[in-house]
Amino acid sequence: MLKCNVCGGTYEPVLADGSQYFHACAPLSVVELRDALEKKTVSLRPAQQAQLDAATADDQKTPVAADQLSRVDRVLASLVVERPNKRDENIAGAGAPGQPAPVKRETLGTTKV
Amino acid sequence: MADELAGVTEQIFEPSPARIQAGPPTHYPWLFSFTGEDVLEVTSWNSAAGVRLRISGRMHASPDLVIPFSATHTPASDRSAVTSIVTLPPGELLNAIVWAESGAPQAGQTFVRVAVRRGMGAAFERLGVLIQGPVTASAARAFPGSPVQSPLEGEPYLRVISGTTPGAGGDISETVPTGARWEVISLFFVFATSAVVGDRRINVAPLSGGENYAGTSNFSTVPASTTNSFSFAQNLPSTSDPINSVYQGAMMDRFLLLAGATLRVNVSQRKAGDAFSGISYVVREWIDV
Repeated sequence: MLKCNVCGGTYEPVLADGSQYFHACAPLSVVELRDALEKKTVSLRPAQQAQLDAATADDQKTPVAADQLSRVDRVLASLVVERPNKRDENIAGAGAPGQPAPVKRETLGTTKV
Repeated sequence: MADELAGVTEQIFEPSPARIQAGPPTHYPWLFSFTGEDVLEVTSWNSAAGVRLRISGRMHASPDLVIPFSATHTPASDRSAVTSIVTLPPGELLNAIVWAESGAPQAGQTFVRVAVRRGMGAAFERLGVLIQGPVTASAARAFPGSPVQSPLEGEPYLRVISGTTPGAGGDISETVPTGARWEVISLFFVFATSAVVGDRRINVAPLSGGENYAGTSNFSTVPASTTNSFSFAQNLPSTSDPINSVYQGAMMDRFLLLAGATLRVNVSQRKAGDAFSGISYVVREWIDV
């Protein structure tokens, strides 16, 4: 079992059928994205920021009922914002003869758990 | 009566055999003469562990001499292309066969092309294709006899995948490997909510090129302090049994994802301490090269 040093996800690199599993970090979840925006560790693309600003204004103008999803929450759930240092173990083409194929983004690597 | 038929002739149109009745196209050995300048180029793409291919055949070297040949080829297991060269004695290629002599690849896991090429270095010309298609330990491809196939024409591998258990606060995100194409059949996971009050809603969405392009949900919300099992599958009705914490929903039919695309599960109104686990899903996986 490996633990990704970027996202903290855990996985088996070889599955029960013997095939290889290639981990790639998930985009930021709603909780992570909200936190990252508050800490300004990520920035949205202009179109995404415009969506979020409009939803924030709508929520302030006509607040939703307590049992309904806020417009901001809906927008945050729909955004795809990759985490800084995202790892992607998928191969980037064939390797040199006799060498393993290069991975797309190794960044901070993994830890055995 | 006879006058009425005068000048009338009858023409019979006989049915010509449909392409499917004629059988698959075949190659004929006399098309491939080898003088020593050309070689066989064997290229494989494979996702199974421990596979080794055997390439064998016979050369008609002279009127009274048939020479057999045989070579092995070891594919990678990450779907990357691996190429090896088989040299042949001068003569006409009578037949060739390729199959998996080691390992136990399932249908759709191992794809091979045997081509004729001139030149063994970086500069070469590929001059013909003899064999191209999927192989297993018992299903060989042969020249002549087997049709030249695209990897997308064959039956895909039915693959059960245990996904990444996300770290704290993370979503489920599963990416189609390089060199593969998926049709997602079903997805199962457990979602445990923390004691923070609030209703959560699960969303399943495909991502491609950094964009959501569809989405489905169970539409029932999940309360705090519960551990819930979720199943999504093609044609599965969307319903739930909140008392027993069981939820299910439909995914798109023909839910196809290309390499690099992502199957994502996220949560609206997610709270700190909510967590996913037990992620497993079934895909039909083609080698897509």
